[in-house]
Amino acid sequence: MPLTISISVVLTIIVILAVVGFFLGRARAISVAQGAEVGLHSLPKTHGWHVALWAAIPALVLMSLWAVGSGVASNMYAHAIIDPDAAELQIPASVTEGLPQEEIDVRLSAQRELFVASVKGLADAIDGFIANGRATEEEIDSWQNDFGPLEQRLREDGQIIGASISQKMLTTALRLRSFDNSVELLGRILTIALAIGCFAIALRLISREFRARLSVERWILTFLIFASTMAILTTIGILSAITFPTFAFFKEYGFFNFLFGLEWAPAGDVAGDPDGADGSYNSALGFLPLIWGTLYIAFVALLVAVPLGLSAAIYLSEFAPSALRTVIKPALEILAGIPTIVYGIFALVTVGPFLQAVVGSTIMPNTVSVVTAGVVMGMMLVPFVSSLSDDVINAVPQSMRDGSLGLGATPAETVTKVILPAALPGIVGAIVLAASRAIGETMIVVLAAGALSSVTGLEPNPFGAVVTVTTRIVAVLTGEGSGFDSIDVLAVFALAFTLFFVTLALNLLAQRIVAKYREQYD
Amino acid sequence: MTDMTTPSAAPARKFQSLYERSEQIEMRHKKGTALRILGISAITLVLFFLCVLLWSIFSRGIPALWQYQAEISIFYDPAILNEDGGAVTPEEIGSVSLRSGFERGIYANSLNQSLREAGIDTAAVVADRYAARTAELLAAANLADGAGSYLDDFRSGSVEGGDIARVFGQSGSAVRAAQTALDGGDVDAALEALAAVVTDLEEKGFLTASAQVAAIAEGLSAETTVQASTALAATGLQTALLDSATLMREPAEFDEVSFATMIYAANRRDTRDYLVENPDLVGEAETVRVPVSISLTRYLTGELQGADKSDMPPGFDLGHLAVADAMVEADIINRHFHWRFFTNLYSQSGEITGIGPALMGSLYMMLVVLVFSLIFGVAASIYLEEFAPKNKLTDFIEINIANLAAVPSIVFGILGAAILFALTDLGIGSSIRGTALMGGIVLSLMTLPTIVIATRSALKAVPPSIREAALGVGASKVQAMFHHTLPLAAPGILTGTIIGIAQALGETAPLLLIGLSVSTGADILSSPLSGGLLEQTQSLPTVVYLLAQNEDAPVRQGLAQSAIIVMLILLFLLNFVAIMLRRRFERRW
Amino acid sequence: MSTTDIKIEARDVDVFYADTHAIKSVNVDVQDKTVTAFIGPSGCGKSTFLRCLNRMNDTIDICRVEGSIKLDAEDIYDRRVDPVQLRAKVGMVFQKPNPFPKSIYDNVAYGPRIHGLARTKSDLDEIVETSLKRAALWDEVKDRLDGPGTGLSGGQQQRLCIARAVATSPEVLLMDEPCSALDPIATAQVEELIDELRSRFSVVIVTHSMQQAARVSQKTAFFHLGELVEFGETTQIFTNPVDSRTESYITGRIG
Repeated sequence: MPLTISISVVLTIIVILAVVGFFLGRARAISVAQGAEVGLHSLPKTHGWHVALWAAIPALVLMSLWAVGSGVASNMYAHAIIDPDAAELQIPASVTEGLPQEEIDVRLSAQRELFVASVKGLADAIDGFIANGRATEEEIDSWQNDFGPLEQRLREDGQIIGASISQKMLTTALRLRSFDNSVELLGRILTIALAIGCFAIALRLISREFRARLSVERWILTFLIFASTMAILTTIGILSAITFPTFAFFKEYGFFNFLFGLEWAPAGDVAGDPDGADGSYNSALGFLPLIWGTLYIAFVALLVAVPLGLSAAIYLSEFAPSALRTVIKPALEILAGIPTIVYGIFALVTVGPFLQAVVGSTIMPNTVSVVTAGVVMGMMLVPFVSSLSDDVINAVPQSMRDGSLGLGATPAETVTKVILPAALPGIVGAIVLAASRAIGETMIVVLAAGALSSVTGLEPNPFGAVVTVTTRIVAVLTGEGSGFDSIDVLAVFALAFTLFFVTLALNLLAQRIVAKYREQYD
Repeated sequence: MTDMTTPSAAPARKFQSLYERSEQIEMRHKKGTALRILGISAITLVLFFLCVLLWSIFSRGIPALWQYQAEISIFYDPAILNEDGGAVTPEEIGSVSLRSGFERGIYANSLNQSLREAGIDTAAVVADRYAARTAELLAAANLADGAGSYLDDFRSGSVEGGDIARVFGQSGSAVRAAQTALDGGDVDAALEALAAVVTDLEEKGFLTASAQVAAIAEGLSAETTVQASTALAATGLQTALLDSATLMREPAEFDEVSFATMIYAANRRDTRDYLVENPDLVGEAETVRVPVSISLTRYLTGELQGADKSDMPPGFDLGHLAVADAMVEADIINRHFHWRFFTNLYSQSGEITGIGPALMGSLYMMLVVLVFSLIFGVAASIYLEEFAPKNKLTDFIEINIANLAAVPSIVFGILGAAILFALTDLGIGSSIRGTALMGGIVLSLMTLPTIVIATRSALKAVPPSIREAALGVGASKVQAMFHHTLPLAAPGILTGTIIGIAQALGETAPLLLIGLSVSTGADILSSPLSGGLLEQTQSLPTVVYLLAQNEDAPVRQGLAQSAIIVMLILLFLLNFVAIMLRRRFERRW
Repeated sequence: MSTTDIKIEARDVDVFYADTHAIKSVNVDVQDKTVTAFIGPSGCGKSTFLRCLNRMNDTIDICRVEGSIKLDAEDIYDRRVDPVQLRAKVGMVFQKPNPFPKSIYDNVAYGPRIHGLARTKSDLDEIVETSLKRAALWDEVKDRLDGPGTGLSGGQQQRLCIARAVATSPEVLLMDEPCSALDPIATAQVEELIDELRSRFSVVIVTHSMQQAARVSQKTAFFHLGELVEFGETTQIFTNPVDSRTESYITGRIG
C-alpha cells in the first residue's frame, strides 16, 4: 500500500510546531532569564515568535516551491520515459516522404506533445477514478494486463479521457503516477523534516544574550523586501512577457510588414512555418487598420469628452453654488465608477440602434460603429476630464482671480482670459491622459465597434464598423483554433507591446506637461 | 527718478454714472451668462446620459427577474418509467431516455394533464385560434359570409383542416387563373375563368365576393382588361384564399412534442437523479413550477407578436400561441421571482441560465485580490516608504509603480496569458487556466499599484512627529511602523484597498484573456481550502459578457441587465463602505 | 476737480462675516487727488474696509456690508450698480504682486481690452506705454514687452501691477499694503510713484508701516478692532493724536 501523507496532515504538523514553538520559546526565554526578565534583550513573547516563525516559514516556502517544481519535474519525467518507438509517435513514411527534415521534426514533436498530454490526462483520470472510490491502488496494477474495459469504466465515472487508451499509454501513465506519488511523498517528508529541524535549532538559539527581536524583525524585513520585489517583478514581468514574443514575431513576419501593413486577415499559420506561396505567410497582419480604428474612436470619444468635461469643470469650479457642487460632483463620479462592460452593452443594445434609427441604414449599415463606441466612451471619459480639469483650475491661485476681478473683469472673462490660459498646460495634460485611457479601452470597443475578423484599408465612415487593437487582442486570445504556436497569436503580443508603449508614452507626456505647469505656481 | 509725464493718452472719460449700465457691460455679462449656460447644458447632458443608462438597465433588468413559469403537477408515471410494466427500480429510472422519457414523456404528459384539469381543451383552443385567424383573413376580402360554415365545421372537428384547405385552395387557384388570364389580355379566356370563379364562389357560399367578381366580369372587353386585372387584384381574393388554405393546412395534432416545446423541462438530468434517489416518488405527483421555454417568453413579453411567419417564435405556430394564451388566462402561467437565477450555472438556454458560479468566482477572486494585493501592496509600500535606502533605484521603482497604475487593464490580461504560455511549456499551464486563482493573481497584479499609491499617501499623511516620538522612547523602526504609524494610516489604506477591489470587480478583459469560461463548464465552486481556487470559474463581468451575446432577446436584453444590476449593487455597497470608512476615521492633522 | 472734493464718502459702514461683526460704524471721507492712508495693528479691519470700496468683498459669500458708501455721490451698493463697472473706476493693487502669466504688454493691456478703451492697436500701444511710464517701469521693460510678466523681479512685478491698474484710467486707486512684499529699494520706488499718481487719482493706501503712511499720505485714518478711531491730516495724527488709542499705536505701545 503506497504511503501518502495528505497535505492537511503536513499543514497541521506545521501549525502545531509553530504554536508549540511559540509557547516553548517563550517559556525558555523566561527560564534562561532566571527571574530577571528585564535583562533579556527582547520580550519573552518575541522569543516565542522567533521559534514559531522559524518553524513555519521555511517549511511553507519549501512546500510551495515543491508544488511548482514537482509539476515541472513531472512533465519532464513524462517526456523522458516515453518510448520513442511507440506506435503513437510514428509518422507513416507515406506522409513524411518529400517533406523537409525541419517539417518532420516539427510534426514529430507535436505528436510527442500529444502523447504526453494523453498520458497525463489518463493519469489524472485514474486519480479521479480512485478518488471516487471506484477502485483501489492494487487493482490498478492488475489492469496492465486487462485494460480493455478500463476506458469505458473511466468514462462512465465521468472522467474525461481524450484519445483511446493503448497499452503503451497505460504503462506510461502508471509509471508517471508512481513517479508523481514518490515525488509528492518526498516533498512532504522533507517539509516536515525541515520544520522540525528549524524548530529545534531556533529553540536552541535562545539564551540570555539572544536578541530575539532582531531575528523576528529580520523575518519581517525579508517579507517586506520580497513584497517589494513582487511589485518590481510585475513591471519586468509585463515587459518581458510581451517583449520576447514580440521580437520573435517581428523576426518571423517582418517589422515593416507589420507596421505599415494595410490588411489584417489572420489565417492560422504556424509560426516558423509559413503556408503561403513563395514562403510568406497566409496571414496578413498589418497594424495600420487596427491603429486607425483605435485612434478614430479615441478621437470621437475626446470630441465628446473634452468639451463636455471642460464646460462642466468650469461651471463647477467657478460658477456653481457650493450646494450644487456637492451634489453634482459625486453624480459625475458615478459615471466613472461604472464598469466598462456595462457601457459596452449599453452601446450595443441602446445607443447603436438609436443612432441607426436616426441616421438611417444607408449611412450606418450596422448598429456597431465608430460613433456608437466613441460617443459612449466619451461619456465615460467625461468625469475623468472634468475631475482633472477641476483640480487644475482650482490650483490656479486666488490672487489671479482677485487681480482680474479688481480690474473690472466679469467672472466669465476672468475664467476665459486669465484662468483657462493659466491652467492650459494642466488641461492639456488631462486630455492626454484621457486619450491614453481611450486608446487602452477594451470592452466598449469589443462590443460596440465591430467584430470583423478581417479588415482591409482604413474605414473612413464614422458610422461604419472598425476593428481596434484591443478588439483583436481579445478576439485572438479567446478564440478557438489558435494554438499558442500560431503566428497570429504572436502578432497579438506585438499589438500588446505597441499598446503598452503608446499608453506609457502618453502618460509620461501628460506627467511632464503637468509638472511643468506646477512649476509656474511654486 | 520720475518719468516725464506725458499728456494723457487716453481721452478724458466723460462722467459715467454708476447707476446706468453701459451697453458694453451688458454685452459682457451676456457672454458670461452664455458660458454659464454652456456649463449647465454640459452637465445636464451628461447627467441625462447617466439617467438613460441607468433607466435602460433597470427598466429591463428588473422585470427580467420575474420569470414566466408554468405551475404544473408532475406525475412520475410508472408506465413511462418502465415501459415493460414491471417494477420501477433506480436502475430502470437511470436508463430512461432524457428526451423521450422525461421531456416528451413525463413533462409533456404532466402538462397535458394539468391543462385538462384546468378545463382547457387543447384541441379546441388550437382549432379556435386557427379558425379565428382564417376568419380574419377571409373577412378582409369580403369572404366572411361563406367562411362561417366551413370554420364552424372545422371547430367542431367534423371536417379536417386539410379538406377545408383544399376547398379554399381551389377557389384561390381559380382566382389566380382568372388573374393570369386578365394579365395576359386574353378576353375570352378571362371571361371563362371569371365565370368559373363566380360559380365556384357562389357554390361555396361566398356570395359577396362572387358578386364582386361578377361585376368585374361584366362588360369585359379588350380595352378594359387592365382595369379589370387591377380590380381583381384589389379585391385581395387570391391572397386571402391561398393564405387561408396554407393556414388551414397547418394545425397538426397537439402532441407531446408540442407540449414539450411549451416548457423547458428543466433539469431533466436532475429530475432523473432526483427520482433515482427517491424511487418511492414513482406513481406520485407533485406540484412544481417549470420555466416556460424562452421562445414562449419572447411571445409573452410582446417581443414577437406571432402575427406572421417572421414574427413567430422559432419552433412555434399559432396553435402553441393559442394554448399559451389559454394557460395565461387560466393562471397556469404566471410570473414568479427567479430566485434560481442567482444560483444556477450559466447555460446557453436562457430558461435555466444563472450567475451562481459567476458570483462565487468573483467572490473568490476578490478574496485572492484582498489577500495578495493588500499584503503585498502594503508591505511593499512600507518598505519603500520607511526602510528602503533612498537612491536612484528606489526612485525608479516609485515612478514605475505610478505608471503601472495607468496601464490599460488588458495589458495585465496579456501578462496573465504570457504566464500561462510559460507555464504550459512547463506542463502545468492547463491546470491553472481559467481558474479563480489565476484570475485572482492577474487582478491582484492590476490592483497592486493602486493600493501601493493609496498606502503611500496614507503613510505620508501621518505626521512624522508620531514616528519620532516612538523612536524617542526606544522603539525600533519596525516597532514604530507597526505599532504607531500603520494603525493610524489603516483607515486610508483600507479605503484605498476597497476602492481598488471595486475596480477589479468590474474588470472583464483581463479575465477573458486568461481563459475564464467563455463557454459553459463552470460549476459551483468548492470551498477555497479544498481546491475551489483551482477550478474553472467565471466572474460577474465575464458572465455579463456571455449573457449579452446570447441569441435570445430575453436573455440579451433582460437577464444580462439583471446581472448588471447585481454587479452594480455590489459595487455600490463596496464604495459605500469605503466612503463610510473614510468619513468615520478621517482625521485632520 | 479740486483737491477738496470728496471722492468717496463712507457713512455708518458695518461689515459682518457670518455672525462676526468685523467693521463697526465707520465714517470716513476720501478726498480727490489725495493720498489717504489706513493704518492700524494687524487684524484691525483696514484691508477689509478697503475691499468694501471696490466691492471685492462681494466675492466672499458670508460677507455682508451695511451702511452707505458713495463714489461721486452715487451709492456703490445700490442695486442698480454693476460691480464690474465700479471696478473700472476704482482700481486695486494687491499685497503680493500678482501679474498674470502673460506677456508684460498683455498684462497691462488686459484692462483696456476688456473695457474696450482702445479702438485701434496704436491706441492700445499708447495706453500701455503711458501706464508703464506712470508706473516708472517703461525704461526697464520697453525692449521686452513680449516677455513674461512673471519673469520680472519683485519690485518690477508690483510696478507692473500698478501699471496694469492705472491702464484703465480709474478715478480711485486702492492699494493694499503694496510694499510689504518688496525690498527697501523697490519700496522707495513705489512710494515715489504714489506721490506722482496722486496728481491724477485719489489713492487709498493700507499700510502697516507708520513711517510709510507719514511719508506718502496727506490724510490718515487709524483703525483699531474694527472701528475707525481717528481720521484727520497726517501731520496731525502723527504729532498730535486726539484719541489715546491712536497715541498708543503711534508710540508703539499697541500693534
